[in-house]
Amino acid sequence: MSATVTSLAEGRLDATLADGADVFDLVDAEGGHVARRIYADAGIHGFEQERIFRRAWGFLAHESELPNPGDYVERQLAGEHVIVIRGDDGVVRAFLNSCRHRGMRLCRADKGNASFLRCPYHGWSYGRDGGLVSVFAEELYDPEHLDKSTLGLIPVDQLDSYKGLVFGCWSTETPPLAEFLGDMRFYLDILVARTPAGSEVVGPPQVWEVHTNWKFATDNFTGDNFHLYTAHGSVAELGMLPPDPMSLAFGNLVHVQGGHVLHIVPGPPIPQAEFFGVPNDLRPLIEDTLNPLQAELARNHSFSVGTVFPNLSFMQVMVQGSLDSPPTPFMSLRVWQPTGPTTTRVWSWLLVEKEASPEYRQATYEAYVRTFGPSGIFEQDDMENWEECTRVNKGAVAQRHNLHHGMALHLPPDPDFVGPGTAWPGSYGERTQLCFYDEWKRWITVAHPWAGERG
Amino acid sequence: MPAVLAVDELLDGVVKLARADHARIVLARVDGEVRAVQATCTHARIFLAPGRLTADKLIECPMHGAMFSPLDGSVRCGPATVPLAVHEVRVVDGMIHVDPGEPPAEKAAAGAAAATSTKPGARPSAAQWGNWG
Repeated sequence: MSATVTSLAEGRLDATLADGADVFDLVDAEGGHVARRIYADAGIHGFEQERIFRRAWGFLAHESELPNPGDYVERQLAGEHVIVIRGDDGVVRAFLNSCRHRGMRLCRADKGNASFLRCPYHGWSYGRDGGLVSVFAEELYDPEHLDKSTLGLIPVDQLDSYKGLVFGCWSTETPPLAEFLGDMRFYLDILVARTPAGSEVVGPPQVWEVHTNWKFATDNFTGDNFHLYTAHGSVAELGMLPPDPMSLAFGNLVHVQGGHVLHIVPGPPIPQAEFFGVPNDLRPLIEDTLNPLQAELARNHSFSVGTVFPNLSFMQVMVQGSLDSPPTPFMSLRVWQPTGPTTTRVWSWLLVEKEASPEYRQATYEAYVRTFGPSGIFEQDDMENWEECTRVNKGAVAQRHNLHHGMALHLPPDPDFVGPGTAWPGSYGERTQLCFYDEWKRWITVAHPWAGERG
Repeated sequence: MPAVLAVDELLDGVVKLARADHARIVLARVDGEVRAVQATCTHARIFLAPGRLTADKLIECPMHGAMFSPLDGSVRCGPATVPLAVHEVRVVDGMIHVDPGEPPAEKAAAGAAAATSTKPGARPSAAQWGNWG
């Protein structure tokens, strides 16, 4: 579990910052300390883009956003614009959103359906499969100097999907998606593919900008339940959280593998809270679709929040959207896209089972928007905390002192937990956060972070 | 009843944490009278802080600001809803003696919840969920 990269056979990468500090020294997963500068440093942002976001698999889209040929969405992968488009052959492809002529951003809309992708500058046009179809005034080129077959859109180096989740990767060296996700697929099944037809997005993603480092978001989404009664104190005071601040301390924190982490937390001991609180008509479908261990976890839990390394998070939670509404579940996917050392673009999708009734679809949409949409009563509290954490941690004096991640590190793993990975008992703790930061360090300081011995 | 502190070491208006056998307690002196209540807030189960009583002679929880009377343990301000357990106090020969109470009852009243949540397979009770449960 706690093997450090120095014990590994593969080579270290130089990760020296401008002032001589080594990124390797900035995370002490054993001791439970993290240096503040990891949240506010241009050099670290550069290393992250190069070594994490251009090497790891990143979430691009959900297949249900692209039901028909020609449907496209514009996304970003490691900060570069990408078009994800379904071809006439039904295949989803992803390309750098840049014309081969002058590099112009070809597709300027967030989403749509296109017969051709036409460059707004000089009109070079590409097909739904990315091939260069037409060039303005083609007869003026010496055919020797215009081989259209070599001038198609630049594909994302690797593209694959898992149960509707489309991921891309800018490196051909990185192992295939299935290997990268590994046992995290066991949990993703429970969250996004638990009924025969699977889940689909509700509406387009909501996107907003936050003045925070992206790692404050992942830190929170490694399963931080112990901020609820302080950060969301006003919501708790109104009675929209259970009255006992320890009611959400149960369950497990899980490091699945490779920095993929989550918590899974039981709700109140009533039938309505089983299967994450989804309506009764969906429950037999879940039991039939999942394997027995997955179904047992779904039956016994009401909440699960986690992160697929590096920056895809999920939240399956029950919330009260208003004072007079019952606790209602929703399942949201998040991408925390760094746009600079201290700025982050948040992408948030709502997923619902395709078999969901219109009434439940409405209820879960409302619960999500009211609580964790960009103006949600919970989301606002989190953004305020992450922005202030980032602002303060920029300070040179502040950076003399490390941050403390020490909760429940003394507890041994839970031998009774039925899912894959290493699980610790209780959901109030900082194990999963440290596992995430250890993996973060590994990707910045190791040549082949996906290979070699792991703890 | 075990002796926990010399009465001279507890000035009026002061709050101190102490231990009487198995029980962690808060000692406070109100208008000369020594009082003892349970040391953990009934809301988030954190330890109440040593320091001073408020201007209204109440014990204030450092985490969420709940207020309790040191006289009878009653809640004077939320978010706590359950009063603090009161421990019997006697001052003998200048020493404060406090009845630690029954160990199981004390354990159930406070402190135990955090440990319970980290027992493998433990689940929260209906009582912890209020309207949700």
